[in-house]
Amino acid sequence: MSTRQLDRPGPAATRAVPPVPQSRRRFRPDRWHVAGVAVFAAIIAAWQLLFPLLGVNEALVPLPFDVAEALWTGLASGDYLPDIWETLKEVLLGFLLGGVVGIGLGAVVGEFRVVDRILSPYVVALQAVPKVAVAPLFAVVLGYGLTSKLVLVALITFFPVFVNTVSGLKGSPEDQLELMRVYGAGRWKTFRHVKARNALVFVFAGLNIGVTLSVIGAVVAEFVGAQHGLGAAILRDGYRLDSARVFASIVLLSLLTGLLSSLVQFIGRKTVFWVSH
Amino acid sequence: MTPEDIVTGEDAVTWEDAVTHPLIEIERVSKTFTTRQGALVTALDDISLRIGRSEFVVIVGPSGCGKSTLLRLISGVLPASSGAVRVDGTPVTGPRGDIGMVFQRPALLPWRTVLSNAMLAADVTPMSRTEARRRAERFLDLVGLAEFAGAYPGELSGGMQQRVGIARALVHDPKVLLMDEPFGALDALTRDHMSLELQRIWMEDEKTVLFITHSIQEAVFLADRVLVMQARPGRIVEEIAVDLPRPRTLRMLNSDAFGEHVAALRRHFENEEAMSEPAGGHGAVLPVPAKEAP
Ligand SMILES: Nc1ncnc2c1ncn2[C@@H]1O[C@H](COP(=O)(O)OP(=O)(O)OP(=O)(O)O)[C@@H](O)[C@H]1O
Ligand SMILES: [Mg+2]
Repeated sequence: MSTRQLDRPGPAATRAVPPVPQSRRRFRPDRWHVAGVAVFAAIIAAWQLLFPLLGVNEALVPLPFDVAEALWTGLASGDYLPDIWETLKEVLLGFLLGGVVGIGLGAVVGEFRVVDRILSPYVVALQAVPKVAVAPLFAVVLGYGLTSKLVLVALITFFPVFVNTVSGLKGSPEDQLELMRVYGAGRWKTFRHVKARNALVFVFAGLNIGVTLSVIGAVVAEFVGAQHGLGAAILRDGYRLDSARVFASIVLLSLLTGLLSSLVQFIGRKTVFWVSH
Repeated sequence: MTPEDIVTGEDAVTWEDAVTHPLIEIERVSKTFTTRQGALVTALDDISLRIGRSEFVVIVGPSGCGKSTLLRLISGVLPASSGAVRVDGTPVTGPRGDIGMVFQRPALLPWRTVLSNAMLAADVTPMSRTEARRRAERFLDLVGLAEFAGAYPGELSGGMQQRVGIARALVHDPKVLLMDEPFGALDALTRDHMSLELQRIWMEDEKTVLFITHSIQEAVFLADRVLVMQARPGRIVEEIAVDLPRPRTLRMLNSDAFGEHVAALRRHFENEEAMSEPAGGHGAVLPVPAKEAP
């Protein structure tokens, strides 16, 4: 058999230029951004100007400028640093612990039906428990130090990560699995080369939910009893009727949540680069 | 026609080869599925078939007649209910890693580059990386995608992805290439070109190919032999040898000889009760949604 007289039939449509990797577009504000900023400014202005006229008690609802001032002085003087550092520690360590255990246990449950069967009832039952309700218990058992906070944060982070890992591992396209079967690839190779990769999208979705919840967990744990942390600061300042500082702490917590969530999403996008977002 | 009607040349692939040196032997194989409701479905009923080395066999038949099931029995991912399947003399008891498989959808791994996809065998079979890389580069070149080795599947057209799938299926030097409607999801023009490319690859690599299609034209164009299957229960009801010279060209699609083969096959389907629904469009299409080349 000879093929030499056969020329290469290359359909014009598929002889495209090799794709140039698209560089990320620079941020260029459009009119929606402008509108967004304008609305925000309007709300702040209305708040600042109207609330005094309406006679709202400043000890209950502070004015935006007071909040900004409290935030600025608190940060500039370094007052806030121990609190921020403490909360960040609880959130990061707890999130890491909950995430790692969630992914690990999720992998085992998602991969082995037996384990799934045995553990599933407990997981479902535990999931029904409002985790923050257990916070006082943790404080009593584990003390008022870092450990009790860390464990609550980990527990609260664990569930979304775990559940998403399990369903992610079950969500590989059938034709990819069939391909691995045809190759005679065993469980481990199929897991490593197909299932784990497909699960990553879900894992990051779970981590993103988890990171938001982890801040809530840390604050609740601090409410139960803590020396430091932004949650503890809110309680402290609340007793002193320093509502500007309370709001400043809330702003800091929101920024922290937004920052961590963006970070997780960023890492997620880089890791599961093949999924168009 | 019977095997005796064909005079064999030295290197020609014929029924006689298929009979005396079969690469794939299927002996009285049946496959029954139990549905979730507990009903029994006979997907394949007492099928016997021999396929010779380097033969290009095409299976046509209506939807649900068991074509994919037959391929899955040969690839070893599915056990037969009864009968024996042998590849190269050894009974098939499970997946062996010496089968190349191409599906209707490319089934590429989107996180791997084209080259890395083609080299998948290095990760899941005992094949060495250097050898896999050498062969992957060769077959990517053969399917005309050498310059896309570093691209990701998401950056390729459907036809290009399918060609990566074909290259991947050949890298571990499988004894058999099983193709389950590989061009079914492609547009008519791309489909024609893919048929030509597949013929070229096959003539260069001399693989044994078992190819499923819903297109009678595609079947005649590619096949040494066309097997016609029938549904409920799944059976092979006819074999038609296609003795058109190779390499076949798109111009031959309009030749009388080609038309006669197509007509012979189509006549068969008109006789079959199960396939008597009107075939739309080009006429040579089975009663299943499938795009046909103009
Ligand atoms: N895993 C399964 N469980 C139950 N029934 C099955 C299973 N796989 C296939 N079948 C049945 O076996 C029959 C043959 O299926 P198969 O997929 O082999 O058909 P096919 O000829 O490939 O059809 P198509 O042209 O639509 O791809 C069908 O009736 C189908 O419902
Ligand atoms: Mg099928």
